Amino acid sequence: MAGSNDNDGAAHDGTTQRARIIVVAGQSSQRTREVLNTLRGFTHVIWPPSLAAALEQTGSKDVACLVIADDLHEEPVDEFLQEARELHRNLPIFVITDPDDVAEAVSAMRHGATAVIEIPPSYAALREEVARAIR
Amino acid sequence: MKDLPQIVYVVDDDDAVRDSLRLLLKSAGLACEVHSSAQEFLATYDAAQPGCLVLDVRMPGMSGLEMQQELNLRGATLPVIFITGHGDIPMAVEAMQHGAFDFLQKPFRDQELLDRVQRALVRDTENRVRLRHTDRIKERLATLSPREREVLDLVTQGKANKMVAGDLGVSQRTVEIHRAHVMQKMEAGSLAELVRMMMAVSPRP
Amino acid sequence: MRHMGGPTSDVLALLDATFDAVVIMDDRGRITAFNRSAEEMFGYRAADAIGRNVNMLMTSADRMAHDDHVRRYLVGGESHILGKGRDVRVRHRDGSEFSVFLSVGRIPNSNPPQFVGYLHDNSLRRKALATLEHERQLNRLYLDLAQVMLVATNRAGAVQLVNQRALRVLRVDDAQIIDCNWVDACVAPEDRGIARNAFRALLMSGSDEPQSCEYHVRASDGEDRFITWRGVALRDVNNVATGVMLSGEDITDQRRAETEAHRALERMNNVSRLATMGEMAAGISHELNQPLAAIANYAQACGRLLRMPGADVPEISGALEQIAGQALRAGEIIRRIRSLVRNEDVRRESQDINELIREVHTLLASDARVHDGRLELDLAPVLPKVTVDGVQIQQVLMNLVHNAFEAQGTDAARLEVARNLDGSGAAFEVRIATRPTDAGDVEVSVSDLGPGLAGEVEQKIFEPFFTTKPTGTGLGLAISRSIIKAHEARLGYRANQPRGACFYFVLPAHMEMPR
Repeated sequence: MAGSNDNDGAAHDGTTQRARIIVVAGQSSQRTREVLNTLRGFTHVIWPPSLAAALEQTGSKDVACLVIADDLHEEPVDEFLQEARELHRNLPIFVITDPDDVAEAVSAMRHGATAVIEIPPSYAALREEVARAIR
Repeated sequence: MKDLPQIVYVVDDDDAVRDSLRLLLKSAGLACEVHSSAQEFLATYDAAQPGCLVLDVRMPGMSGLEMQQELNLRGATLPVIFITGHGDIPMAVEAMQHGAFDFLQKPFRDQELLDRVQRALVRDTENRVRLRHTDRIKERLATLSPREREVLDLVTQGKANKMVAGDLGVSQRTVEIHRAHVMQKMEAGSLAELVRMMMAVSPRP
Repeated sequence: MRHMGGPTSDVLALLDATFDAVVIMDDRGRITAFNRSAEEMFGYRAADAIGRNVNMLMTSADRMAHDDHVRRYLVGGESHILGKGRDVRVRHRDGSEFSVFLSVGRIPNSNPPQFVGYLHDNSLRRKALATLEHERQLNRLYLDLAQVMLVATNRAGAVQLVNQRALRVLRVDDAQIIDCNWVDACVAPEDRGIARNAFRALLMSGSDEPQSCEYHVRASDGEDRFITWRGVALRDVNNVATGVMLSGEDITDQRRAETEAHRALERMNNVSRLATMGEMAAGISHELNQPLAAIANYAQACGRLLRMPGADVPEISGALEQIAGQALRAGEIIRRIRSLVRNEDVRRESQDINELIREVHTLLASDARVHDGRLELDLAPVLPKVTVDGVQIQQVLMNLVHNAFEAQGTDAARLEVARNLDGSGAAFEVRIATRPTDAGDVEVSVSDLGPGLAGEVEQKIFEPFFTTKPTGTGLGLAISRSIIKAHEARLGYRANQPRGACFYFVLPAHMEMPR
């Protein structure tokens, strides 16, 4: 897992000190793009091509948090969430849900999400949570 | 000591909701006790009593979320299923972050509630077994001498006797003797078992 | 004063009576007569002046010229000055110089010739002219300084006078507008009918009372300005109307601002309604979901109990009764919500204020529940009816009750207090009270046990957008006050006893018409 993460450039190009990486998972969609845009101001955002890659990259010590931006077409969110949580016990994991979907939010929390943020109405809560995680 | 029977506690200020939950749980064959306020429940609840809690979020006086925090402060491990007439995601997230077992919106399907209650009761049993287990480990740890505790910490970090002897500035033979006492006092059959015990009692990071 | 060869005493007496200074001299320039006005003008006594050369009255520059004039006249009969008047500088006895208007004539049949000079005190004439000019300038200034437009027309409506303000509004200069027909040249085409009628009415009216009207003028660039006018008829000595004088105030911006303010208020009302709806939605859905949850639970429990052997019939029938009761409870909640949101248009009716309060009690109680508080009603049993828009009054009550709960501290403070209470007591209480006043009207008050208002807050609390709540819009109280004001009442604040805030309003009692 974490040890095999040799292809992560940020860990080796001398920028390790300041690099704090946010890993975003989510199918290619409007919402995922909006989440990526929202987080662009933060240090280093990666959107791995697959969930396996996401899980692997999440192991880096420089990763500040994992954001699950949208449905994961390969896998139910809860299972991926549980897997990520088992691999990385203390990693902040934020899940984005549709507004007012309380059942989905509760399920995500049960499966190890640190917090659930509903979108819309606003991306401000996401920025706030991620800023806190980076600190 | 024989286990006490599990009880499903219902705390809701609405008479009709409270009474209908009592009847629903009764019809599912579950022992149930109802209270109309957080204060009423807290005044009578004994943490040794196993079961789970079905708790209304909004109540006059002390809200369900406040009561959950009060239970946390008291170290009560009773799994809490929140029910609410009007819930939103921030409210649900807050409840879950404070360790709620689940969060349900009224009205709900009977099976939805009963499944969660069953799972909560299982969780409570597991919690209590684990607690009892860790309590026993802590009791055994308390019987170790300071030197024995040092040896235990080092060997469970994976250090060989020779390294432990070097670290502590004693002979390898002395380490072997301390280690044998540790295994005996901790009732551990192997190093692996010892490591598992220490993981069980170490506070979660 | 007579001198040898001078005028007779009759003539001298006549000269002394004239206002102008008169000096007579002989062909050698010697003064032979010097009247009283001349004495005053030059400061010489006649006795001192007579016999001396007239030069002494002249400035050095004029002396040479004067001698020259006299010589040329005497030699060649050539006259530069006789019969003509001109301004000359003269010298007072004290040496000061001043201007006079001098006309000189030869005394008929005098030989050797004698000349008479009339000296008119120029400075006086100038002074009068200057005063007149000054007054004209002042009048112009009055006109131009005026913040209003001033326009005078003749009987036919042609512009005779227009001030700077009017020129600025119309964006023209005098030349473009003087003698043009006022209505045709300056009034916006749609409003010309109004303007003509107003003009005619002014000419016809026998009164000097100003008359008012409002119409648009069109500036040269095509922009219309809205003007409120006051006009009076101008009259000649025979009291015949010769024209009109109009003073106009440009109220375009003011009117625009009023429209804006009106729209803003409407927007605020909408915002407030939405905010109130949003706040209430949580309460409503909670309130409605309670009986629905109970119904679902009872029904599902009944199903289970029926499938069990030896079904407990009393238990089941009790549950069925509960289901019916809870369904009615849900229906009642919906009925109240509908009666609250249905009626959009404003209708004032004779109402029982207590009944209005009871109607919103369910919703208000749910607000209380949201805030973990308790709502108490303290309603006077007998009250006169009031003429109100029930929905609006209910909105005010909801707003006041909501504020009262919000005012009563943070979650942490509530938890702290709640811990110290027995199981039954809600930590916070809001009380709606009604009572008849001494004057027989109806006072409605909403009081709480919160921290109350600090003095400076009390000053500002009714201002729009003022709020003490971190999430408040600051509109609620301002709107509540305007609603109460529209009911010819006042929303007031006083400290509650023993502590907290109390908002109140007094509604006038409805007068029953005798049958």
